[in-house]
Amino acid sequence: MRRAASIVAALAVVMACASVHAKAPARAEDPPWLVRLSSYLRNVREHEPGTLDMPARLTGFMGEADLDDLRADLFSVVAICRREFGRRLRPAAVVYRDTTVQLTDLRQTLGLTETEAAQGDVSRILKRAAVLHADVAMLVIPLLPGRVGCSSYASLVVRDGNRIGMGCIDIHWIHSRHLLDAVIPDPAKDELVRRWYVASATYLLESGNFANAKPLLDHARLLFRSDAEILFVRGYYHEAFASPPIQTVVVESGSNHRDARSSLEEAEGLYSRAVKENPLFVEARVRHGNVLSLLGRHQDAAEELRLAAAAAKGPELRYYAELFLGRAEEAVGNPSAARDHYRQASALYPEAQSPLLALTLLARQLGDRAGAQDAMRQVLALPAGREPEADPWSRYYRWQHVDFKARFKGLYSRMLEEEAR
Amino acid sequence: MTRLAAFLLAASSATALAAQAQNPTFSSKVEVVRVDVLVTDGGKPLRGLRAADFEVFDNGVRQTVDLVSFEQLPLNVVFTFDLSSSIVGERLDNLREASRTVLDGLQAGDQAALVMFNTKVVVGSGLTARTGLVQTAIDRAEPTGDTSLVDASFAGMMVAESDVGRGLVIVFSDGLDTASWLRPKAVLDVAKRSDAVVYAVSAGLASKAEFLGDITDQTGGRLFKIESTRSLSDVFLEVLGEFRQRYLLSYSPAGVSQEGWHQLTVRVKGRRATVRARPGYLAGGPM
Repeated sequence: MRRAASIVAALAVVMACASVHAKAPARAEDPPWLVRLSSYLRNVREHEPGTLDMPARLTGFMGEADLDDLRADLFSVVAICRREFGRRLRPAAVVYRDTTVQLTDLRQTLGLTETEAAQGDVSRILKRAAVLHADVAMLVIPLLPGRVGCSSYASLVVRDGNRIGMGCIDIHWIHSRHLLDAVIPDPAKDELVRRWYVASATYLLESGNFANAKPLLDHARLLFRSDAEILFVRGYYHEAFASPPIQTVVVESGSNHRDARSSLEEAEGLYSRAVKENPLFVEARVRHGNVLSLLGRHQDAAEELRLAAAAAKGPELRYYAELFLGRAEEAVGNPSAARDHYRQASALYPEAQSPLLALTLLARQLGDRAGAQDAMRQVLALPAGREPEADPWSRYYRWQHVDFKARFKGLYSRMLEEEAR
Repeated sequence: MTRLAAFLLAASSATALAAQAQNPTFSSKVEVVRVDVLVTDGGKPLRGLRAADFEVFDNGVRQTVDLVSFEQLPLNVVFTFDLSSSIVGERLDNLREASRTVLDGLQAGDQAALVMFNTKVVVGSGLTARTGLVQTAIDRAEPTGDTSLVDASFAGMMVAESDVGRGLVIVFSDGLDTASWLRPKAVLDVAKRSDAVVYAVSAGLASKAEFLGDITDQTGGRLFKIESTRSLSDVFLEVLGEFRQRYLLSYSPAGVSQEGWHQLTVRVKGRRATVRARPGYLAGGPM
């Protein structure tokens, strides 16, 4: 049923695509590469960020080879612009790929201002294009049948620890990164590029899309080594990679992948650096505390989580801080403090099972059978079927305090601000 | 109460347990350790043994043993079933059929309960002698979500302990834990203090779950690894049959410390029988 719906959607897009192309003012004498480049850049200009509009749908049908060729043409004509527009005696036309192209036409095709053309600065277009491709990856590709939009490499799709199929290494994320690498003067110092990486990584991690997140985060590491938010999302990746749903697949496959502890140690180092870069980064502290606890460094975990619990804003972040702090206090031999923190977590989410289970176990460990049974009765009396809303623990590895929608909203705002300058 | 062991049941004698099955009390005066024991010879259960046939050593110190005849104590069978998204089709049908087989095999006075787990732990039915309610809950269950195996195993033991009787927890899962809050080590610590005996049946990926092997070892139960759920009814019946063949020994600890881990050794005098029992128990508070 879902596949049928995808095919219908795809057909609709193809028909719409044909209709739009019919209206395009393509000149008969234009070579295919120029037609493709013009059409692509028109889509980049006309796309409304965050929407599933026609430019996004059309771009979604481009294949890996199309994008590679297009990028080569784009970068070549930008280089031509930089070279020719910078000259005092500017030629009227240039030859590229056996085609004579008027310089003014070339600038118009790229949509550059005179200054941008002279500087060979296509950064504004590249950033807009990266936003378009992120939207294509998030909004269009999931609707398309088969492996449209996927590279020749495949990934695993996992549910409840079981492999249920092959996933997609999305060419649009790859293409976006290549485009942003060409931003001048330096993508590593560009705030919009940084926001693009944080927003995209947040989306991929919240979706559990580790296969696409990995290369993106590896690239982000090269560009933004000391940025607190990039350090945080990298830490999040490693923490989530060490989580049971992922490690289950590692066990199942018998692969010789690094064990969970190595991933946790990696996460610990990254969160620690994120907190050093930004001591007010409460979510990094919460997750750092959890990872320290998982590594058995309970005293360090308790100290970090006490700071986090005191500063946490918003019910979910406070819930995690209290729940993890309860566990850390329990581990360092403060059962009374542990009980208080579990109760505070339970008060924040009264239908959450985890703090009540923790209270039951705590009572049982202390030999308080009656207390344990009382707590257990509360667990078993909870209404069924409200997960994951009822207990934030169930979505801990798919949740971030500032979610991807908010991240992308911030990215779009930044883009509009830059374009308005 | 001196915290000898969290699982110590208070009673003036072990036989009084049966009489107070509905209203357990916890006294500080008399503490009794219960040990559920399976004795086999050549793989077959050995029946007809008396208290005098057993030797029980608590941390190496011989104890005076009472034998509670298992006919005197009703069973509390707690199904703890994985109902995550992977339990579908034939696997679900076989699970329902297997539970029906066990429920049909219960006797007057026995009770059953259902603890289901996926992303969370849900009680399908509390302990009840009306086994039809339990079966209805199983038949109505709709698998979904992840696998909270550790949380549910703990919950199963707690439900088994909620009423005096011989607690048999039957855990079934086809996957590894992906969603629990509780950590295996903490739950295993509780298992060391629990009277409940945990049997587990694992299919598929769950066969790689160390936790199931550990919890069955700690409680004196057994782990069955099966290739296909088609044999599930037979395995469940074997579990029930084996549990009914077990002896329930009890003793008031003498000459041993009040705290810490107590190594248990159970032997049958003068016979080369195989004895399966919990390896020990944990006395006192958290360690």
